[in-house]
Amino acid sequence: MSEIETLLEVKDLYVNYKSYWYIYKVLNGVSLKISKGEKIGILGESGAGKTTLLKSILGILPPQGRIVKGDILYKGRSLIHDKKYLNEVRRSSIGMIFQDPLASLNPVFTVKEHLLDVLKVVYKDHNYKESDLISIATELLKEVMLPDVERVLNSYPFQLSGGMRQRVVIAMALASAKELLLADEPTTNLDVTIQDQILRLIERLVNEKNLSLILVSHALGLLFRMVNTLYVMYGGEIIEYGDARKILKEPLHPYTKMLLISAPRLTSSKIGEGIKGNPPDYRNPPSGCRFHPRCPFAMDICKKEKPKLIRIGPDHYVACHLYSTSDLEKTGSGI
Amino acid sequence: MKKVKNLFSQIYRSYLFRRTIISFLSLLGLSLIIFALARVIPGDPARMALGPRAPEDVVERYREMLHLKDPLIVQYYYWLSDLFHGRLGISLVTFRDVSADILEFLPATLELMLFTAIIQIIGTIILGTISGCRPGSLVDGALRIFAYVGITIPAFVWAILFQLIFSYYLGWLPAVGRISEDLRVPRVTGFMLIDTILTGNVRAFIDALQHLILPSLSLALGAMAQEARILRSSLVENIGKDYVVTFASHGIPYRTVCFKYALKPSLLGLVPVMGLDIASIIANAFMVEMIFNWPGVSRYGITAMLRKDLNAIVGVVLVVGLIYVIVNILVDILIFILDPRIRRR
Amino acid sequence: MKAEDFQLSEEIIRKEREMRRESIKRAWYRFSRSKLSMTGLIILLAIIISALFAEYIAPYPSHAGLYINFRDAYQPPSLRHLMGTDMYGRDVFSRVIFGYRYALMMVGMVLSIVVPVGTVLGLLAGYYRGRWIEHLIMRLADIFVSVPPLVLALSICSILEPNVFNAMLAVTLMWWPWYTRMVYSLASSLRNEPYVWAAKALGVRDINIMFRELLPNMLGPILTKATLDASWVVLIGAAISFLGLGAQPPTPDLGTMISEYSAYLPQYWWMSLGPASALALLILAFNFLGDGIRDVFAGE
Repeated sequence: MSEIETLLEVKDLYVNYKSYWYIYKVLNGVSLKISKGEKIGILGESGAGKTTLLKSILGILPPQGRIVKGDILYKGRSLIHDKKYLNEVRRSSIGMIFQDPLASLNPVFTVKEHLLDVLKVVYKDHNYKESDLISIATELLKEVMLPDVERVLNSYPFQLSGGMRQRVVIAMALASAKELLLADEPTTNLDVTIQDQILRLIERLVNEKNLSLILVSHALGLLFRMVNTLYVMYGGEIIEYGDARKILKEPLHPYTKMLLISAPRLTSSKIGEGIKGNPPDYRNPPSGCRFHPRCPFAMDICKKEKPKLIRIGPDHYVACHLYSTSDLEKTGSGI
Repeated sequence: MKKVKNLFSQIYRSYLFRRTIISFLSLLGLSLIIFALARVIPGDPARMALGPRAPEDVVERYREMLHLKDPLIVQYYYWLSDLFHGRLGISLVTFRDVSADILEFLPATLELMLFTAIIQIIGTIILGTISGCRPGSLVDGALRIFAYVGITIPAFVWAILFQLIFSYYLGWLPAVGRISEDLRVPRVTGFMLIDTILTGNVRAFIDALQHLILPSLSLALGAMAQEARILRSSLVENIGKDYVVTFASHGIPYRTVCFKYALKPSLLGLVPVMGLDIASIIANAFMVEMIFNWPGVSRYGITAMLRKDLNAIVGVVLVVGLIYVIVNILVDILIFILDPRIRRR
Repeated sequence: MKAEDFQLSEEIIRKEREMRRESIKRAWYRFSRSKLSMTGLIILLAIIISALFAEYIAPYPSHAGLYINFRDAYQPPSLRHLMGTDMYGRDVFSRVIFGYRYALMMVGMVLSIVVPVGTVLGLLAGYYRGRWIEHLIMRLADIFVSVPPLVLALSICSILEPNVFNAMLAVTLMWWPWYTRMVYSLASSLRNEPYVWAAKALGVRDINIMFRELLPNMLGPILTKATLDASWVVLIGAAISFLGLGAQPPTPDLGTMISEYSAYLPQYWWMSLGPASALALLILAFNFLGDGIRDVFAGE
């Protein structure tokens, strides 16, 4: 992996949210790396910190969120400390598709206003006229397979269907995503029939434009189909990562195992039959391994010490005390 | 042209039209309640108006004139038919025509309301936007304090305070009235600012403007403080929303993100609150016009109330209700035009 | 109805109640932790106690009403007279404490009538949406909101006799529609919640659905509005008597005092300052409390 050019590297990231009364320690030392052309997936329950991770990369955490430790490097340069570079990257390297197409388009602006304002900053140095930008916007909308572009451009978000809205969101993301696309559960709030179309679209665009992809989801089949490397998150930590097929076939971490077993049940009518217990309370997270209160194999050491990510096999790492016997090669928390 | 026509047909079909009808019917209901209240109270309005020493036959004729001897519903009918002819009856105290009096005093009040509304809107937007886009900043902290001060101190206390500070101690601004006594401005529209311009009297225009500042500031302050606070929290909330964050994620500068994408939805949410506050200016004007001796409808109304001048009271309440309802309808129309979510439904 | 449906309905209702109990507990916890609302509560309690025991707390209880002692007139604030004395030699501080009595009486009377009446009417109108009862109640409410409350209250006061009791009556008459409107919109959105449907399916009587399922879920907004409205009632009461259409001198009402004493400005500034700042303090306390309560419920 290391021979290929590293695009983005998240290094031991800690993010806290401060509310009026509490501090929520959400990300707890997350590391992640993506190379050019690589497609990685992040799997985890809702509330595992996936969205926080993506938002930290682009520096768009809500005001009460703060990066307390760690660094994010894009092509070797820090996005946290160099705001000018961050803006450059936001403009023309990374694009992000947000979770909810209903919520990610501004209700009081037309699609045209959305796209033009984005294109204006993306092509800030090109001296384009407005008509040029409109033709670029039209191109983008055609690329995401929207019919009747003229009408779409002059529509307000609420006049479009969910699927159409998500296509507009993708078009906006594409305007900036020349190298890396971040997709935060891009199909969660869509009809089942539309979900597949949107996924195929993203898949095709990523392949055509040779983009790198970070796809966040809790849909296993989707991840299996679209990514090479899989990261599993729990309670703001990466607990297992490696080759996607390997993890899906042979999960090591108890949480991953339970997640994979419970997956089919998510579609059944009964409620709350997934994994017993609740996601950790970030105000006062469990000591040691954050999963230990829900883990059927919890040992004494799990309460005391945070397990480090260790290499189990080629392209397969796990953070669990069950595997930290001395005969396995320790790699520390780095990658 | 076609666009305008389209808009009108939309308005006609919309809930707006229904609300307007309901509002005017409510005013009619209001008139019935007030009228009944004014007529069923013990005491003889004719005797009260003419005084205890007036000869009985004069009082009797006066009763006939006011239809006081007919049943209540018949009296209401007479009064209502007068109302539709624009007559509100004769003042029981001054014997002047109430509608003529109100028409004379109305422009002063409307001018005050309008000026107050402008101060209120501009102040709200400036304060709310600055503190909303920079939460935790110095301006934000100051606004927090100002908001509580503004809510806590009633308009009539502001009025007294301002008069004391700015005209008594500092002598910067005039204390009472609409215009200095030595200036004569012929009445054209009744709006002092417009009349002075129409007659080309610059000195009088500036003088009139100076007279407007203190009353409208005391009227604007409370609502401004509250609205700025609402705008601030709405901005803070919107800035965290994905539909604003999207723009930040494309490297659009924070200033643009805040002043454009967060501000517009926040402002649209504020319009109804603002509208109600602007319509309510006329209520606080009842105190402020008294303090600044402002020759408006509200001062006329209070004078009538203190003298128990029933016809004038009913007239003032109806006119105030009319203004209140019209401002509310205008605000509804404004929202309809500004907010695409409602317009295109 | 099948047994299975029956069970499901019961479960939905049970879960809903459990959640509500939990959220009330959490709300109280957060309320007690909020500096703002506790400050408001403490100020308010202090004011209520001093108003209740005004005879014992005020240094010169006899100065509340008609009392004349020209030798002590126009005294600036001192240790003996915390807020100075007025033109008749009355202790302003004592009068202010008695003034709180009238202000709080007004709040108590207005809210204790308006909140229950407005709420019940709003519940009826919202729950029976589309029936004649909705139209009757809401159109009646429309009439009363077609003019600013202060103006109608003023005119009612003047048509009747200007005094403290009529001022309270007038404000009460003006205020119910605003509650009715709020509860109405809450009720008409809540009536389609699953637990209401479940209760209907179980054959629970309408009146029980309204008061045992809908009402408890509106407590937050109603409580918030009541507290914030308390400050408005104080304000409107003061405005009415300031204009001479409420309490008449020598009643020690805050608004009456401000209007009476402002004639002696600016030389005898302390006379107006006392009642004006007392009024501000009471309004501030209600606002602190109301904001605190709103934050607590908004946090849900």
